[in-house]
Amino acid sequence: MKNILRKTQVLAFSTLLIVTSCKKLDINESPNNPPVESATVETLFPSAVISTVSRTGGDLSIIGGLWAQFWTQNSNSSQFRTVDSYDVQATSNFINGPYSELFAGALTDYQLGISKSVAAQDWRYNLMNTVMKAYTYEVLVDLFDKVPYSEALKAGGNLQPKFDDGYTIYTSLIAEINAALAKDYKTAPLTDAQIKTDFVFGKKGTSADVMASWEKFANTLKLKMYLRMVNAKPAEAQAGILKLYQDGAKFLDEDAKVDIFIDVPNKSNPFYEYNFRRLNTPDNLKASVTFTSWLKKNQDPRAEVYFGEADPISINQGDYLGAAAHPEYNNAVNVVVNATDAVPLISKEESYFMQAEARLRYFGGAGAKDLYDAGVLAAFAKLGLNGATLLATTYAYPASADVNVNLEAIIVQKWASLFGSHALEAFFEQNRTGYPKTSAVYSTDAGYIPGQLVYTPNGVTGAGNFPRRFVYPDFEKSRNSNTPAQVPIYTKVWWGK
Amino acid sequence: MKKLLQSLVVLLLFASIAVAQDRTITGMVTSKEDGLPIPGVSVKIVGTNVGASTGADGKFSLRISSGAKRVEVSSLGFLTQTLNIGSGNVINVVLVPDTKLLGEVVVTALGIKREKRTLTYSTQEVTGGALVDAKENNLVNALAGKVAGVQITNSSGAAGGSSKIVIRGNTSLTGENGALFILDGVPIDNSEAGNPDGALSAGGTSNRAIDIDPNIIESVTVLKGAAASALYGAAAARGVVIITTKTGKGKPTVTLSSGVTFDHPILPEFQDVYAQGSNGVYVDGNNGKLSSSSWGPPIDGLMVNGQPVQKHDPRKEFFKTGFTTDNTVAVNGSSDNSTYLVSYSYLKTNGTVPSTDFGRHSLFTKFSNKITKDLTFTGQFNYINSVNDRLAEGNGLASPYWTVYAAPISWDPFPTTNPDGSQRVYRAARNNPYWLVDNTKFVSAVNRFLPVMTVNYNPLPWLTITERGGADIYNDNSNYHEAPGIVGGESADGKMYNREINYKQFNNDIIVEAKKNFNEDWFGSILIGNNILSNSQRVVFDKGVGLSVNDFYNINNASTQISSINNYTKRKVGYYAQLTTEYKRMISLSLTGRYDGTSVLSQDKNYYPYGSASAAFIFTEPLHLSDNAILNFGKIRLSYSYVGNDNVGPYALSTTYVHPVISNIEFPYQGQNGFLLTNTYGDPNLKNEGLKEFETGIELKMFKSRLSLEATYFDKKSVDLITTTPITPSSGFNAATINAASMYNKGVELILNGTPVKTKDITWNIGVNFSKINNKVTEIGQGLDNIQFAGFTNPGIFAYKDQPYGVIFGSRYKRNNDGKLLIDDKGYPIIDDQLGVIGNTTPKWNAGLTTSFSYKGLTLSAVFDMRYGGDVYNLDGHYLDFYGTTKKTEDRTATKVFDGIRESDGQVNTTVAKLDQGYYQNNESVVDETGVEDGTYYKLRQVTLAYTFNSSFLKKTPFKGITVSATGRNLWLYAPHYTGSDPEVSLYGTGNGASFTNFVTPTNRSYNFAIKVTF
Repeated sequence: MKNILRKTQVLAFSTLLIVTSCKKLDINESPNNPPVESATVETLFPSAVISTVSRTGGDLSIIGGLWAQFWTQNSNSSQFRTVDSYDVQATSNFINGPYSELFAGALTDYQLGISKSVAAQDWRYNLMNTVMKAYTYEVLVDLFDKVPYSEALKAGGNLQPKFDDGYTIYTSLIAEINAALAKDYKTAPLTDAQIKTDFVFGKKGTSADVMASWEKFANTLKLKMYLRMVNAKPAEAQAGILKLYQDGAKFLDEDAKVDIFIDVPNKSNPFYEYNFRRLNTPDNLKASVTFTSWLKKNQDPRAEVYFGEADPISINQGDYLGAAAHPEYNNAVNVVVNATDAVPLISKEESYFMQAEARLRYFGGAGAKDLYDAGVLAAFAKLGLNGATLLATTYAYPASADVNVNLEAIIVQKWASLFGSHALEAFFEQNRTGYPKTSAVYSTDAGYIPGQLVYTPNGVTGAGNFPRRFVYPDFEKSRNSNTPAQVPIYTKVWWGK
Repeated sequence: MKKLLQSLVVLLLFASIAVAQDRTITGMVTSKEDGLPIPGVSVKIVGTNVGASTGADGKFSLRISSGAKRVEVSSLGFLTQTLNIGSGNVINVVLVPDTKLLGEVVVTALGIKREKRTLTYSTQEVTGGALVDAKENNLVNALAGKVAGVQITNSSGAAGGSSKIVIRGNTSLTGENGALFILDGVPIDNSEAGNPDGALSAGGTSNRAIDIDPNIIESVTVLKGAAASALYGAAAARGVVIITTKTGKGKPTVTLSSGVTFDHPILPEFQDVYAQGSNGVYVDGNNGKLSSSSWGPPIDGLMVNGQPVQKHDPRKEFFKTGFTTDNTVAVNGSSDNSTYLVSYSYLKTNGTVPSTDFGRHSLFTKFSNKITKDLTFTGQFNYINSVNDRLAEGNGLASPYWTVYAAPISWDPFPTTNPDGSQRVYRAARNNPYWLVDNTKFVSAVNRFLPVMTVNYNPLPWLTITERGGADIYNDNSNYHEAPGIVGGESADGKMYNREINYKQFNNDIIVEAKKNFNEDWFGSILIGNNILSNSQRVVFDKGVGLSVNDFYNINNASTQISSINNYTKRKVGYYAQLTTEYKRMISLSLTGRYDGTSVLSQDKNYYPYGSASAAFIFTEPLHLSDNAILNFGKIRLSYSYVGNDNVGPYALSTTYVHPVISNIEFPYQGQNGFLLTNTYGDPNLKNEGLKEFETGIELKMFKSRLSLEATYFDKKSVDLITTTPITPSSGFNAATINAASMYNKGVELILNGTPVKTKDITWNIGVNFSKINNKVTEIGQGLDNIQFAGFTNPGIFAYKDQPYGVIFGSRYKRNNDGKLLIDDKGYPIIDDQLGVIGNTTPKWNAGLTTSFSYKGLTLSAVFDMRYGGDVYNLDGHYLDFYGTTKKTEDRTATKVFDGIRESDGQVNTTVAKLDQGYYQNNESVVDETGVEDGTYYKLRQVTLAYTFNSSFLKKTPFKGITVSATGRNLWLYAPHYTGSDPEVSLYGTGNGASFTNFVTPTNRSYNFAIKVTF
């Protein structure tokens, strides 16, 4: 009897175990990462801004500067050979990296920041996120011509977004900026802690100053986008710019930049981190004859700051196989980019040069000279130099009757100011305006005019076919059936000249 | 004959006179088949628990009371005999092999022992002895060549290197493909923690099965198909390796074994004619000049400052003879009601690369006791401490192999530093390999506990209740440093990290099994059970970059520090049932069903059912062939199963918000923290993967079981595979984890075992296994036609839709529509702008052969292994051709007329092209295609010569047994199309992406000498 009882107990116990083992499975909430619902604009914004500048001021500015011919590939190393020979393939990480980071990093987070701030009616972060989104999107449009916009950034909602044309994206972005500017972003001040999350203007200290700068940044960005349209949509460009002036828009009279880098691994200027700290040799980017010949011709003291020497030994653009004929290549100097250099978004001088161009185009040149002068002086002052002497002589505003002569002066000075982590803009502006002009001969030729862009001797696109865009990443083609057909790298983008 | 013998024994017993006193009877049990003594035979007095078992010499001694009438003599694989105890004191018994049972009992899912005879699916067993004989540190390697349908790949010849086992082909695109490991009924972890810098740039770590000491293993059973493993649950869909540990047996026995192994790296040939330099011009790397290439002048006669340049063999000088000691002491024994076993072993390997080693202490104890008549308790405990010192392997510049394999023969690597403290190198942008040996190190120290407790309760003769709880708890403390001065590291100021993995897994099964022979014809069993499995892991990771004080590797020495803690917990519950019936030991039928719940899938889809149905028919039975001299056993079997699987990590459903590393910038940044949306979109609707498998097979035994053949065909389809597939970044994410892919594996496995010779003194066994698997990826998902899982974009290892899993993708030569190379006007093949598939890593077939020949105490055994086909990406050769250190670059005046069509005029190429520096640097090594090599290999994996001393010889000594052995491993390796060390190795270790190799430790050829003593 006792035995049976015990057996019954054991059986009952086993049954119980089976039944009670129906343990809770509801434990799939990650303790490591907060759920997206708990994302805050204060934590999203700084990382998204870093995402943007890590590319625009890093690898993209390196490529921009190779194509704007500030620097060139060293003959003893090979990191950027494909860029310097215009042979950047769809599989290249120079293309895939930025495309991926700017979409899946920066933009998706600005978008999340916008929806969070709209939901909270926080119009300050709404403006900040919107301006940065537009800035970042513009870089993608300018590089790739067409990218997904209207169906993009919808996460699980759409894994195959269609591509929109560049002009549509531009007008949509401007509309987004306008909508953000129309909100009240001034009444509720940013707290000190929130100001710290702003890596662009946070150093200004007070909420009023910070938001005023964002407003100027927004206006200047609009100006920049309208100026980009002057070839493709001249009427719309003019109307947009005139509207800005009518409305009394204030433009940047300071740098919009991220200036928080320190000389510590993983916390430095992205150009420096990429080219000097991370590559196995710091000797990849050397002074290009194109730029240094121009500096030398004008006895421009900026050579000393850009290259560390008043008369930097340089390599002819793209001539990385030419060391045998040019023993001096072995002593060519490196570009000087420091770990603590800022990454400009729109610089003060760039703002002045754009305003000068607007004055030149739409106001009969009235006020253009003053803005040009302000631009040149600002560009020198940034490097701790005084540009007044050169401005009075070699760099004097031509005030020509020929608009193009004046425009060339403005754009070439802008070009010379965009060295370092801002070099991508120099590439874009050359595409838009054709300045600096391209040279019919190579820079070793006696007839070469200093500062004119030369076609690289190892170019794969055919003589004179300068790169004008990026090709689509191969992964976009394989992952998104809406990807447009590939066109050669030397095809101009929609706004190109 | 059998009956005659029995009658004889009975007669003998009748002839004796009964004596009614307590007395001791002795005797010897031998086998009828070969007349040899049978150890471990149970001799029990009928109606009591009093009994004894025979020793190694087949002898027993049993004290019997006056009332004892009969003894029962039984042993697995023999017909049980019941004999009357006569009056004599000696009972010699001859046992007759049970031809019906055929001797084989195998361990199946959940540790349930079943007769192989009536099994409805294929399994294969490897004995512990065979594993020990393999003299491999890693248990997985010890299985190589022995099991059909199993592919084993090695990460490298490094001490503590990982090995991967894939059973019946890859079934997951991006998830785990390795088999599930079970130790005495409890799952154990076999993950590879991996190097935090990634496999491609830093190589791997050990896989955790390396912790299991082969000396404690009784046998390993491999469950291959879903029908065999369905009862184990989801993870078993990838096949199962069941490890059964030893149990104490017989009289107290102490076993001591000791062995030493010498490892020699198997290196490919290098050119040893030309010095450093380019275009035949010497570059003096010994005196500060830099050049990466060995395209200089011949070193013979090369003079610098009037002195000849000394010739080096950089590979021979760098690698040394590896040395392993392996010592084990074990005590075991049993009494009527209890068994005990304690085993301790210490293995220490000093690798062939300076400053690398692997050490393992393993303590294993197992104790079982029959507490009451119907309740048995078994407790076991395994503690392992393993420590692995490694250097980085792979493509990163901290891998010393870069500059070992590429070093010029004219370069003296010493001293490793210049007077100013900087590294002394022969080329720019790489490290001095000996500097790396002194200044970088990866150490992983593991402490692991594997306790298992089992309670067996037999309240009724037909009812067994088993409760089994087990755990796998380990701590893996890894740290890495590279000193300031490193070239191409994250920072020239050095870096370090600590990683502490705390892993806990608890598993509990309660199984109720009822089985009954209803009558002579019908047998039935029903089993129901429940399983709970919970895993949790905590990884604490601290990285420090920029080290301030030299030779001080504490995280507080770093100028920037980044920390993270990652926790996960996941849980599974399962309910299962199995119904088995047998009719006349001729037909057997088995149905299994399981209902699983998992925490990692979508909440409304986290419970899912699956099951299998299988049948076997022994067709020789109705034909009464069991005594047939030619065919004495034949069985056909058939099964179909559907298994659900949750092959995805926890927290894959939600899209989170992560602490970012953006390009080269890590947060927190400037005192400001940041979070970003994760780049991987988690599908909240994830459901289980499905695997459908049809298996059929035939088993034959011929010539009185001297020859057996087993052939199996399987066809399995994996659907709804949970895949992390890349998606367009413009969607806002780079990847999404979704149910997307599908693939199939179809294959045949053949196992042939034979005993061509068997006499009293000589036995010769041969076993052959063969498998051929056709694999194809049928869907990748998201409209994609490919997905990458290893290597670079090019060359890389990819899955392509409608191609076998694991194709090599990269740049290639241009070909016309007929597949002919297009040649330029200089006579060189033209490189295509378009990348494409350039190789397929799946082998055409694998085969293994095991054989043993014994004459009296002397045994000679061997394991052969071969793989036919399957491409390997040999990135080493590709780089080294560029540098001019490979053997094929030795002939620098060679010419070749490339077989192809001239592109310019469409004519057959006749231009003679020089195979010189220009060709190797600007053509051959530029195109990925030239790095693809056929990985066919033939290996004489193991040869063992062992001698066991005759027991009569040992009579006067305290020893029960002495065995001495000499073993050679990889004595012969023939890979006709492969130019590297060993086509079996892959940089990716246990990860997906086999057959991609780059700068790893070469495989070893080893010689082992061992002695085993029992007393």
